[in-house]
Amino acid sequence: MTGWRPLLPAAAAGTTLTALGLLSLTVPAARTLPGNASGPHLAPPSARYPFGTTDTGLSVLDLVVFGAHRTLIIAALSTALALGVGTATGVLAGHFQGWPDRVLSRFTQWVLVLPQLPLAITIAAVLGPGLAQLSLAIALAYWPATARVVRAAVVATESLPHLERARALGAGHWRQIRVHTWPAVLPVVITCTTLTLGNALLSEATLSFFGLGDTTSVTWGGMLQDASGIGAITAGAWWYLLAPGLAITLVVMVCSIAGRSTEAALGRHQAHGLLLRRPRWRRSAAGEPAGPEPV
Amino acid sequence: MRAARVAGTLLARLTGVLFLGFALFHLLPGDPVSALTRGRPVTTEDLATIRAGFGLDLPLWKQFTSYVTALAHGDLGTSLAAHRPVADMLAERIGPTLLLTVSATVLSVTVGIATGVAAGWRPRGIGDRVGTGAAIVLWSAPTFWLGMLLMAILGVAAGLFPIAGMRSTESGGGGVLDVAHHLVLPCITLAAVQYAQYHLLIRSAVAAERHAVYVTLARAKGLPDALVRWRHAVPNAMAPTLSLVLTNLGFVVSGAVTVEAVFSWPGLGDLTFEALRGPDPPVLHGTFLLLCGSVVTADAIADVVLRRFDRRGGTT
Amino acid sequence: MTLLELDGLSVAYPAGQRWARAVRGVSLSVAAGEVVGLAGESGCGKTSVAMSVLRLLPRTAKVTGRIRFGGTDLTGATWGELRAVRWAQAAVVFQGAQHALNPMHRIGTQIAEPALRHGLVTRSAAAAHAADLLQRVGLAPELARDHPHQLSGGQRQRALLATALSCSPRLLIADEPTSALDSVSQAAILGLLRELAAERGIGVLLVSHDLGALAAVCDRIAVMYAGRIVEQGSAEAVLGDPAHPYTEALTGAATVIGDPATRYAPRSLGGAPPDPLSTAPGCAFAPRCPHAGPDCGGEIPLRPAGPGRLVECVRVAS
Repeated sequence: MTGWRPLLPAAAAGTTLTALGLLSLTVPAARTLPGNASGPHLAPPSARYPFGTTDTGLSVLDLVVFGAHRTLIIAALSTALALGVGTATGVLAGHFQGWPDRVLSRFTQWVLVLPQLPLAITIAAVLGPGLAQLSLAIALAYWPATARVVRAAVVATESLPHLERARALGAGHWRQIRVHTWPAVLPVVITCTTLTLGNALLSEATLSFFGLGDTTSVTWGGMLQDASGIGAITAGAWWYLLAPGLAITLVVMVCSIAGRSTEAALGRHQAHGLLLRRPRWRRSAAGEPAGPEPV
Repeated sequence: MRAARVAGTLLARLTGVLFLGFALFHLLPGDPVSALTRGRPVTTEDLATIRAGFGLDLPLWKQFTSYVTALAHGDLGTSLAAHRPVADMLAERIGPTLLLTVSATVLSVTVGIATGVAAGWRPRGIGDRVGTGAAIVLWSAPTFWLGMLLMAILGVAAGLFPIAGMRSTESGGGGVLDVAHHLVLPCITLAAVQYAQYHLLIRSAVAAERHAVYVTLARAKGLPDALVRWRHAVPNAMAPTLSLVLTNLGFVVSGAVTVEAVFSWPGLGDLTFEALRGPDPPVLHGTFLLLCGSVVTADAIADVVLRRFDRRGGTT
Repeated sequence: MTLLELDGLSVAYPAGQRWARAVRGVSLSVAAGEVVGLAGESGCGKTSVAMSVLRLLPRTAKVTGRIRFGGTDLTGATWGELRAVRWAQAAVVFQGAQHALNPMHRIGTQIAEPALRHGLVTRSAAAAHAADLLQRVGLAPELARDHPHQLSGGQRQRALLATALSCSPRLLIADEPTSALDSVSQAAILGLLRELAAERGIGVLLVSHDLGALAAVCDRIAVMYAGRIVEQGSAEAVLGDPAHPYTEALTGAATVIGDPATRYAPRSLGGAPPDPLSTAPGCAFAPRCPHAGPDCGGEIPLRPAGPGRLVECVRVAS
């Protein structure tokens, strides 16, 4: 077994994400949007405003903290939707095989090939603005990755002896999935969650930039769009861009570290793990014949 | 027959894109036209024009047949803003998009291979830590934000490069150097985002090949380290890398769409951006069909190319 | 003339905070024209011994002791000196030809590559060189244009042997060259090795778990257990009259062709090999040994038991 050490980055990233989630839920309760613009307009960073102010005299840092709430809610909602659709498709395709698998897999493969952003943009544009519509548009563009990975994991467990035994003993499909397939697929779903969460955050930002965001509240992507809308770049007001962009980058980074290290720790890609590398040579170089390898 | 199967899949997928385009703009519950134009200053006459343009006042089956017939004739409708055929508008945007994506891909592949191989060959070395760290940061940053930062720093503050458009003059003059000058920032931005992907993929592929028996054999043959790496390990690492990258063309196109919107690079992404601002549903519909259709087609071509490249497919 | 001389060779791999000691003080020599067998179970350290000769172990492996090849000490050699010895003087036939051949290169290219890089043939003569070597190992020269996946397992193994002969080495290290092959191909490869030793004076270090294969071609045999050579001597003596209880058990476990009794009731060894992390003193085989006694826990002397024969066991009378 891999031991606890490889799980360290995953645990650290998971803790950060959870803390962030809790923070974003409590922040709006603790403070309201600093609506009364008290500061100077579009001022560079200073001791009082560490990330500068907006054109309306609000602290950029305050806005970023406040915007975390809505941003993370959209990301969480679209991730939940994408994972629900993806996992359901993957489990159905992998478990029932035969024609349902062929149909579902081809469909998944097709959506996977389509360029995500134009797809999400068009769906979001047709659905119209709003939190739910935005989340749905993101989810519809990002579910296939989960479906494919989950299907592969299910197919791998389907041929295991204990599942064949369960089948032979007459376990129903639901029981087979719940008792035998699900535990094996869960780690894969966790990895997908973190990676989809990162993608969802980036999509929210990009769709906001295209004017398709949720305009009823402050989000990080929406802040960037506002900044570009008032010409912050040509005005040289780089600070208006800095904090929201950094916030997105940091959270996405935490997500991808969490995803990659869980993946590595679970040994799915041993040598492909990014932050944790398990020396593969140890087995073969110690004089044992190399184990079965993919041809 | 392999070729027939690829062609069949391609045909099915293109038909799927067609259906999706129809469904998004004709079938959706509610009224996509009013959704698209909500909160915008549109007159009732405009709305009627858009509806008639999409044939939304006709029965559904008639809508579909006329949709397919029109598409078969290359007719994508007329732009509301420019009052020109959408097909013409799309055609003149293809060139700039290709220029941007190809140049950025060449740049990012070159840099990605160089740093990815170095990092994968000596994992945990200083080069790996710096290169891979940078790649993760670039991978995590929103594309348009990177573009805006580059624009603010290199374009506005330093004044080194133009920040918008493809040419200095409206008339289309300016020559190759002028276009290249305009290309620098969009190209770097798009390359930076793609670079992360190439670096990470090549890094892990090389790290995996590093302990392959044939690499040890190459070393045992007395070859210098550079030859072992570039002649033996890297070509084998390229096959999985290429397949992953080629099957992920959607990612490149998504990046290009964003970068074009940021830098007003007159390609399909910028046109999408304009169509959203307009709002100009026929144009949005056109860019959607063209972007999805071309990515699906490119994916099929990539599939064929890859089978040729990867000699490891067959076993005894 | 002694070609290869290992003296007190030890190899350890890092395992967390500790060291897994795969090889623990092995001394062995191979002379020109001699076929020496290195026998033992999986995990006994025989591949580590084979790979340490040309220093092909991972960087993290700790190698101590002496490796002398043709009078030069390879343990202290620079990378440049080492590259000159690699393949030009000593070549390796790797185990698992399927993974040892580069899937992207043509067979001919791979065979001629070492000779080309060591400046022994010109670029224009490389193709003829490859064809020549293919014929020498009994393959059609046309195979030079194929890629590894187009060859059968036996053909690949022969191609690998042809690659090893590319620079006419003085020493061949063959690591399980026949373990993945059918018995006909096996016999052919072993015959080739025997021929090379007899006719061209090449020294061969043949690593295998297959005692039958070793008995067929070896002049001398060394038996490894848990990183140590527990017994070595002439092939007939070691296999015909094993002195160490482990060798005895191994020969008992091997089937004897023509004697069905050994096939139906092989004498298997109880227990499992010791943990490579263990640092317990004394005979590592004692826990599985039917003759073990209290004196097995102390220092075990290497005792001569006949001409050219060494055994590491307190039960053996010198």
